[in-house]
Amino acid sequence: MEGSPEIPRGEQHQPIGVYLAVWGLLFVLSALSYLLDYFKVEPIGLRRFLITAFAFLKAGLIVAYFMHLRFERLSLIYTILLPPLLLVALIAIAMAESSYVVAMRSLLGVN
Amino acid sequence: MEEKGLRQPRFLARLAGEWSGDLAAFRVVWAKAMMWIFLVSDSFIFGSFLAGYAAARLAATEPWPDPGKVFALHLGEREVPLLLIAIMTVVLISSSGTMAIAVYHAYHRRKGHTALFLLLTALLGLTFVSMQAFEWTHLIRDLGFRPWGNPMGAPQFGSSFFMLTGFHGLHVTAGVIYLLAVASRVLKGVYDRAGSYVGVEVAGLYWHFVDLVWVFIFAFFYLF
Repeated sequence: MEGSPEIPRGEQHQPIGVYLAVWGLLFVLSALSYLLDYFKVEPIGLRRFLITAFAFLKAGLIVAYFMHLRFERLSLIYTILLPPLLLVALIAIAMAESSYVVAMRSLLGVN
Repeated sequence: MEEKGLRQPRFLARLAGEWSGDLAAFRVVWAKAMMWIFLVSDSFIFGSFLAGYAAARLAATEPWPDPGKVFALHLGEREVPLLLIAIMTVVLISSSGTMAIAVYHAYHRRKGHTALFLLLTALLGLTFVSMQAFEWTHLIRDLGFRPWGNPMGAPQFGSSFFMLTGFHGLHVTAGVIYLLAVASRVLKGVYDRAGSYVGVEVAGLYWHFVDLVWVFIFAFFYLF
């Protein structure tokens, strides 16, 4: 296996136990998110913060272990992970802007 | 930059040289690099949908319908919120797990095991899409949800919901077809003859991405 040119280094060293552990963690984090909503944990800010944190934790586990990104070269990791940061900016702008929109709509009485 | 360097043959040679330099920079097979670049662009599609959803929801003057109530299922006399969505999440996470195991077996070039887990993944994906079809039918026919309005509150709910989950469901459907094609190639021995099972791994990247998108839809649309 070491000599096969098409298999980049690092990947084949991941034992099956790692996949099963990540799989289990994804279940646990999803269940926790669901329970936070089921029991309507208050305050809502804390509930939403935890749901967001668990979502990003799950995303990190999937990308790092299921998609093997942890074992790729740094050049590929940055190529993939840096551009989506723009999305955070886009979402922040969209959310900031909508507060003006809703104020105008309420003022003018339109939907 | 030198003037004569821009003359075509040298210019082309330089361009080609730089791109081959980039290939060495990533040190993965081209199929894998291309799939990753596709997935980055795809993440922009879903990210833009989520930005649109956030903007539409925050700008809605009517109250946002409670997803827990909209997607509740009755178990006997009890109403369990988001039950179907929870089952769909379990099914999709399971499919990601079976996909990871298929890729694991592909690394070790075990033809039968790889195909078996690929088919299992496709089956779970099909289950997910079927449950989504059921959910849509229930929402449209029984509850009267439309992209332009619904009886439970802000009309923006419908457009956000159908856009986000519809596009995701399309990805799952395409993924099931993709996985079936890859499984059939595994069984035919295409990857054995090519001496590389990397095609399975590339399909795995796509499938895990579909699961990844669901993580955010589940958190931000259903639980928020």
